[in-house]
Amino acid sequence: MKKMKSVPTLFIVSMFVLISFCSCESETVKEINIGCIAPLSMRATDLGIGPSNAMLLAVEEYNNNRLEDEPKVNLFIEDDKWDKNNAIPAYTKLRKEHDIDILFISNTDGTVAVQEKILEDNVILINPLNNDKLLSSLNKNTFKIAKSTEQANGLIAIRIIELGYKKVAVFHYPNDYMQRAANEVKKLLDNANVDLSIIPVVVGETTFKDQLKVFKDEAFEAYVFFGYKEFGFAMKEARDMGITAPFFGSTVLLDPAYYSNSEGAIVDTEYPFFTIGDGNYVLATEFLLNYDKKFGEHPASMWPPMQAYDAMNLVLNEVRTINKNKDKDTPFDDWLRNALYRVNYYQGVCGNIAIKENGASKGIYFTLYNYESKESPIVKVKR
Amino acid sequence: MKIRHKLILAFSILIITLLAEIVLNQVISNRATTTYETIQSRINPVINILNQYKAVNKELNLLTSNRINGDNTTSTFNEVRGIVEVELTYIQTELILLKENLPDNSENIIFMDSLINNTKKLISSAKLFNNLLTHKKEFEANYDQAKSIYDNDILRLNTAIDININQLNLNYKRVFDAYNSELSNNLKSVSKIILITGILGIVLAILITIQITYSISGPIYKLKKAALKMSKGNLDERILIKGNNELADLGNSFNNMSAALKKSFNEQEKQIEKIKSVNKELEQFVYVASHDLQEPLRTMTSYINLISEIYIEQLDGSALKYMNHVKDASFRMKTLIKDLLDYSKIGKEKTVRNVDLNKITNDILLDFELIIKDNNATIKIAELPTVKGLEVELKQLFQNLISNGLKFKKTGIAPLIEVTVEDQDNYWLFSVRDNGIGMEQKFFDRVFVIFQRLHNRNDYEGTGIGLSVCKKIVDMHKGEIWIESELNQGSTFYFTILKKLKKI
Repeated sequence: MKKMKSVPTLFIVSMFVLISFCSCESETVKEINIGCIAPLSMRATDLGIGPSNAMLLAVEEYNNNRLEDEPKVNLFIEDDKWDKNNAIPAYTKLRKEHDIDILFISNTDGTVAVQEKILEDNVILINPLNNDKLLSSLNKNTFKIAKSTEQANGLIAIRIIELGYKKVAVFHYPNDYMQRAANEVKKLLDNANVDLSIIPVVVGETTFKDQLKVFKDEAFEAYVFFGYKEFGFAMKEARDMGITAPFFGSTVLLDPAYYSNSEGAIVDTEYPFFTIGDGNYVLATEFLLNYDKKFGEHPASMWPPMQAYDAMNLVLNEVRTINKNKDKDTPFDDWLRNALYRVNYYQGVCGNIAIKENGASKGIYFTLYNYESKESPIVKVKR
Repeated sequence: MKIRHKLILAFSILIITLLAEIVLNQVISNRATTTYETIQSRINPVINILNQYKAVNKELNLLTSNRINGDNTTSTFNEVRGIVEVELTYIQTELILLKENLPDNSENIIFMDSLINNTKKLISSAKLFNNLLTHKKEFEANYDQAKSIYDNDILRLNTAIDININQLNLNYKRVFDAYNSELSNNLKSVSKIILITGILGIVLAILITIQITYSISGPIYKLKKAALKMSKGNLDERILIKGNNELADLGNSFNNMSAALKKSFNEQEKQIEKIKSVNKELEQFVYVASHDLQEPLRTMTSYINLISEIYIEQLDGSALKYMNHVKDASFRMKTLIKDLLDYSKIGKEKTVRNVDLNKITNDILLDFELIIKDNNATIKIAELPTVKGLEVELKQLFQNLISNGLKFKKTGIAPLIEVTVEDQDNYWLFSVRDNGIGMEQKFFDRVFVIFQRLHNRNDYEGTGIGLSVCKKIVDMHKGEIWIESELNQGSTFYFTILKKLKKI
């Protein structure tokens, strides 16, 4: 009888052990889905195609080299056409179809638009393009692994002070990034007693003759164009009107449409930019070689994919440890957020990166370049 | 000691040696691992950070020097900014963490504290310095203040940090060397232990193997030798295996078996002797009986002949017929007694001689000359060898077989008899082939049994002794006899004779 009783007990204990074992196994994270919302068409495609390719490259390299206990990562990309109104639908689609846990989005307005949603869904958001004071004030799940908008565009103001111009006109596109760039310039130039005129333009506006005529008449000494390809027309119109004052541009000056719209008037424009010489030269060169090898072409603009590559790798560097470092009771976003906060030195292609308490990165610094010609548009400004 | 105990002891010694090696290795390996982990977790990170810091400090020193000497490029500005905002901040955090892990009594705490404080001051001074020289316009206005910061703070801090780093590097290098030396000694010890225990194990294994092999193979050899002698008939062989082990038990068992075998063999020999004696008596009886029966039979035959000759005219038809039956019966009885006498005589003469079989067969042909002629028979005899054997018996053998061939002929077909021989290593193989009536396979064994007849006496004459005589003769010559035949297809008798026959 004793034996008879012990058999079912043994069976139950074995099943319990088996079930416990299976339960333990199921806790292992096998795959993580990441979403990316970027401009792949319409406008600012140099901020979308290159970065999304760089992120694909980073994910592929990670998946190829990951260990057995490190999760596989899948990257799903959506096009927002550089319009904040497309951010929510794209995000909803990524969540619905792929149940993403991490979102990369480069449009500042789009980043603001999905704030509530990501917090509701416990998703971590990374902006791999911009890093400014507005973004830093957003919710705790938002990180910015990118250049500082203020630092990059402030270079224009410093240059104007250095060259001693006293009357400066600033045109800016009506989005948050360009407005913030204009504001930073204004802040710095106001301290230097420079007479500044800021003109916000309208989306789709292609002629600026009226404003330019006024500035010409008032003998403005420098023109700043914080915006996209439409300002190519403005440059052309200015030169046609006989304005010889120097031009300054933004970080997106290398869009080929910009040059064609300006019909060459863009030449000699100074603008903040970032090349491999500004970052970790060795790593950056290797990245560009791999990029060329995979996609068969050079990115239109270098810095957006470099930043995106660093941002993705920095996140993957933490994600790969999930099965070692994350306990089952901690929600994913809490775990990744704390892990990212702990990054105080990451050697990336853009340089050595740290993440501050507000989720913003530091360590990527732009310098001033000159659009010398169509053939060599990226020449460092000698001072 | 029992062999199993010896083996267990031997393996135990080897296992203990191995265990001792494993334990010693484990102890020393653990020590080496602890030393290695200490180097990896406590020494190397500090040395790495210090080396990194030394390089960063030097780079910052150069960059700030360039800036104060007029390098106002954005790149330099950004590089200083990167060092201050990321690298120095990171190094400072790492140094704080490393300091927290230092033991309370560590002399490095003071240096580490000093280094952390100097780093904080350097971050602050370098940030201020860098911002003062943001652009050319401000350069001249802020130069004096920047120069003052550079000379009084940055340069001094660079030097102080360098001294701190060197001092810490020296201390950690010493500790690193000490741990490294310990690690090296531990690894050497492990190597020595493996070598010594390895050699010890090998020597022990050789000694144990020799001892056990000898203690097993010695008795086995003795057993083998004794068994060989026994196989040659020496049942008195006994062996002595010393000790109290399984092989000694086996030796005793062997001796017991040998004694039992001898006893059994003796009994068997007695039985054989008894059987031989009975057999001899039986043969003697047959001989005597058949010999003594001849005398009254001869008397009977004589009187029957006398009656036939003298009283022939006084006998009626029936009496004559009965007389003829008695005559036939007495003739048959005479033949039977003669055959029995011949059978019992076989092998009486046991001296083996060289027998020329050609001569024997020629004599037989001469004996059968008339019969051969009457039956129009052909007898082909190959060149036969001279063999070791009994001449009379061998003649009897060939005579019986040839006679059978002539006797069991097919009606209307002239008999053809062929005698051949084949050299087969140790034996001569003879065959006597005829073209007679043959027989079915089921009778093959029966024909060699005495008094067994396959045919009616009226069809074929005979007593049923002939082939049994053949078998007896072949047996005496250490050979075998058999028949191959088919009904109406003739028969072939095969028999072998040992070439080197020495005695019957």
